Amino acid sequence: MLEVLNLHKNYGSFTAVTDVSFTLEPGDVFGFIGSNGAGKTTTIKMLATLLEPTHGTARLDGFDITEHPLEVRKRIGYMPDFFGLYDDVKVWEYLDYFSALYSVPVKDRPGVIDNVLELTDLTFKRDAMVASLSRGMQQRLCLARCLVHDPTLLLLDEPASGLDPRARAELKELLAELGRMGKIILVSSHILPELADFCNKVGIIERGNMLAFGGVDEIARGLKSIKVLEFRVMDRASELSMWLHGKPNIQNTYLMGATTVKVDFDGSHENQVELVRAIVNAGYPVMEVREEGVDLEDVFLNVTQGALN
Amino acid sequence: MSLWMRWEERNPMLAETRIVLRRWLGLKGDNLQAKLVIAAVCVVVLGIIGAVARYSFLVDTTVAFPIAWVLLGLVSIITLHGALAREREKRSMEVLLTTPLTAKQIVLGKLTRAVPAITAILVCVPVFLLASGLGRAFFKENGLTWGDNLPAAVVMVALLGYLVSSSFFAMCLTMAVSAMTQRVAASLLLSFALWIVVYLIVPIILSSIFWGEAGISMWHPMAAFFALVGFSEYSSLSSFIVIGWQLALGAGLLVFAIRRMSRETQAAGAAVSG
Ligand SMILES: Nc1ncnc2c1ncn2[C@@H]1O[C@H](COP(=O)(O)OP(=O)(O)O)[C@@H](O)[C@H]1O
Ligand SMILES: [Mg+2]
Repeated sequence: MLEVLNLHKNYGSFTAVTDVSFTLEPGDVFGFIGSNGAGKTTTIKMLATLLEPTHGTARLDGFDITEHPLEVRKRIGYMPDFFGLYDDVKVWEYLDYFSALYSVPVKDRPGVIDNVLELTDLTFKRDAMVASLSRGMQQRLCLARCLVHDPTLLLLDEPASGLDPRARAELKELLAELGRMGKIILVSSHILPELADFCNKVGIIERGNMLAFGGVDEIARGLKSIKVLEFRVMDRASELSMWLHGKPNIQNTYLMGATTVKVDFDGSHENQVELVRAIVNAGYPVMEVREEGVDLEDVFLNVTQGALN
Repeated sequence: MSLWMRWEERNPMLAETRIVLRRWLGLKGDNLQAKLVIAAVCVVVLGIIGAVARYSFLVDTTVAFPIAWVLLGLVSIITLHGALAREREKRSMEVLLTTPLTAKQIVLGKLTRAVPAITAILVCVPVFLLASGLGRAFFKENGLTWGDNLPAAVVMVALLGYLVSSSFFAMCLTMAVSAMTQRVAASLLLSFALWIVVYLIVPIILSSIFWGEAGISMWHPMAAFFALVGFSEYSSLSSFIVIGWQLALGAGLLVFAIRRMSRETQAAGAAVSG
């Protein structure tokens, strides 16, 4: 279990992280979201025992990051926002080196290396030089290195940035798998949608303040939620669009072509049922009504705008 | 290997030296690089021994010591200048600092990277002397005497002691510079410059202040060497003085490097608890 308690960091007179608190349980995959300069890296470095908090602390399985940093280090895998790989060694040598640094027993090392290579899908690159790997593979090698000592907490600083969509999808799958293995995973990003579909918890940080923390839906519900309803009709889409304009709970209407209208809708489920009935009763040839999921980009913008105003 | 592994258990940082050794000397697997290096070293060493044995009457054995001394300094600088600076340049330092290693383990462990090459050179020195007609006999034949008429064994120990302490000092100096610099190239240049300053410029300044003459003083490692082989008016005691200051200054530089590294983590107690 990771308990973060009023973690705070000043750089001189500048406050980078303000009294951040949250708790994560084994199996949690936590998306730590904030725009550039929000304080994500600073928070992660404090948790990784690389930066001393100005005040506040965090405990991992009961070990305090400032009082027992060596105990904490045995239990974390930290992946910085750059790779920091040695490129003049072979893939297996790199992992062998780190299993030695983490005092993995000598007889266990070959098995551990095989396991993490398998998990990160790098078995076929075992004897390749690190420098010859693609960016996505180097990323996975970093992650493999974080896993040699079977840590309880993974701290991954913007792991998805700079990856192509395919590599990103593979990374997501891998992180979900690690979550199922019972690790606590903290992944930062400056893009919420990038994380939302595989994180079970999300925290939004802006200018050093944790503005929201909880499940993705929870956060969305906490806001005055706006959802997007999409109506597909056989024809008369522009007429429908005009008809919808100004109806209760409808904020904006968008005509999306000859057969589709979208609206920003902020009513309850009951209001939604009424609206659909009214449209049908008004004689529009509705073929399909679709509710788009919570638009995470909007959630994020909403939450962070609140802080800026 | 098992003795090494027992040491590595106490300081996991030794793994780096082990991996480097395996790369250059390991014969397991299709390690062409290692085989070539070993073959080349064998040819060179046999060639030197053969040449010295054949032409020893032409070569002054005493040349072995200054050459070894310069080589040891250069090898220390070349093998260690990147020890910590490269971690910063490659941006791998943070990853290293999140492993459960203390600053002391990191610095001392990385210091061992120079040990294999240093040992190889040190072993070559007695081999060189043996090949050239068993040291003392050679000196006698050539009309030279050991300084202060010390037993040859003592002289040999003092000479090797001074070579070992010179290497230790050069290693620690390089490690301290590497702990302070961000770039590998800067570390290399600065280590080399400081090494020259300590061995050439400072002794000349000191001797001109304290002995009123410009020249190499008895504090200088070279003076120790010349005293031991009877080329200089200084007593062979000076070699022990030199061994002493090189060891002491080296240890001081190591403490400095460890302090510098434990500040790098910033985390309270990181350097203490462990
Ligand atoms: N060493 C430092 N000294 C001074 N300010 C810093 C330092 N590191 C980061 N900052 C500032 O702290 C804020 C948070 O930075 P950071 O944690 O890197 O943000 P993020 O990772 O969310 O982009 C930024 O405004 C940044 O400029
Ligand atoms: Mg960052």
